[in-house]
Amino acid sequence: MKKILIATHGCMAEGVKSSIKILAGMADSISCINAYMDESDYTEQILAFVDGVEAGDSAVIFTDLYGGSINQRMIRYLPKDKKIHLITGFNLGLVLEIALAEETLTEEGIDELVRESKKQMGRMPLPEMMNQKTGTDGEFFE
Amino acid sequence: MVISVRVDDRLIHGQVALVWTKELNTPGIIVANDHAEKDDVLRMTLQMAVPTGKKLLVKSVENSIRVINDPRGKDMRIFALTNCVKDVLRLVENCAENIQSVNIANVGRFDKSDKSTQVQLNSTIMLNPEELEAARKLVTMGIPVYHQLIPENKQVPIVDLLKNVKR
Repeated sequence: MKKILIATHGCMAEGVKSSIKILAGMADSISCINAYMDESDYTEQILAFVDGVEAGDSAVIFTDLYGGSINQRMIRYLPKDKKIHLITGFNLGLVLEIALAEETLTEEGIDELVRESKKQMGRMPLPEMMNQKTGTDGEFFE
Repeated sequence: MVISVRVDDRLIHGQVALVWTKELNTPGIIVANDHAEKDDVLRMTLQMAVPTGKKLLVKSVENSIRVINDPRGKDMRIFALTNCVKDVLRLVENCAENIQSVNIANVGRFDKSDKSTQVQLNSTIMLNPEELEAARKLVTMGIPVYHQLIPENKQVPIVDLLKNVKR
């Protein structure tokens, strides 16, 4: 099955999970680490998630910052004998895409979803966008 | 063929765009809304919500009827949206053979009518008298009419929700 862990500085992870729940349900497959909210060491939570990944699972871990300590720690504790994908600097669109994707996630498949999701972040070029025309019937039925 | 018409007062939004088009496997999306056809800002924001690779048409209800009945769409899986029950009833009345089901998801929250005249079928369906009448007619049209916000929810037949309405 698909297993997702979101690990962030503070409650962003829980917040992202809450957003996914509203958009798509499937809260059961998402685990969270809201790091540094107290003095506790979240390494235990990383290991618990990693231990729970079985052969045949598609496992993905999201971290918030490329150079952040959480991402660094993930890299250190990722097991060599299990295939777990690690994605950093995610946006909500990407987590949603991964959550909704086919059960078997390949590296190529994930890279494609990352490319598409990156396009969703940017300044809105208003008012130029207003001039875009929506499709015609002919294009629709092509 | 329209696989499902969703009644949603937000038309295309995050939930609809990604979750439902994937679930229903519909490459074509039609928004049937008289106001949207004329409103540039609304049309643009709807277009933004459409996932890559899906095609969108924004049409008045009347023009949507024409598109849904177009023989070129016979083998195409289409997902349609309206923002009120009245509009979906018009679609079903005029495209009987080309619409498979109706999902009344979110309706009435942004409706400008007097809230005291609305009946609430559940937490996301609020119907003013005109909408209530349309819903009662819709459930007699011979296709499944249900409520389902997200795919993991069970489909609840609208006819069951209407049974509790006293008015």
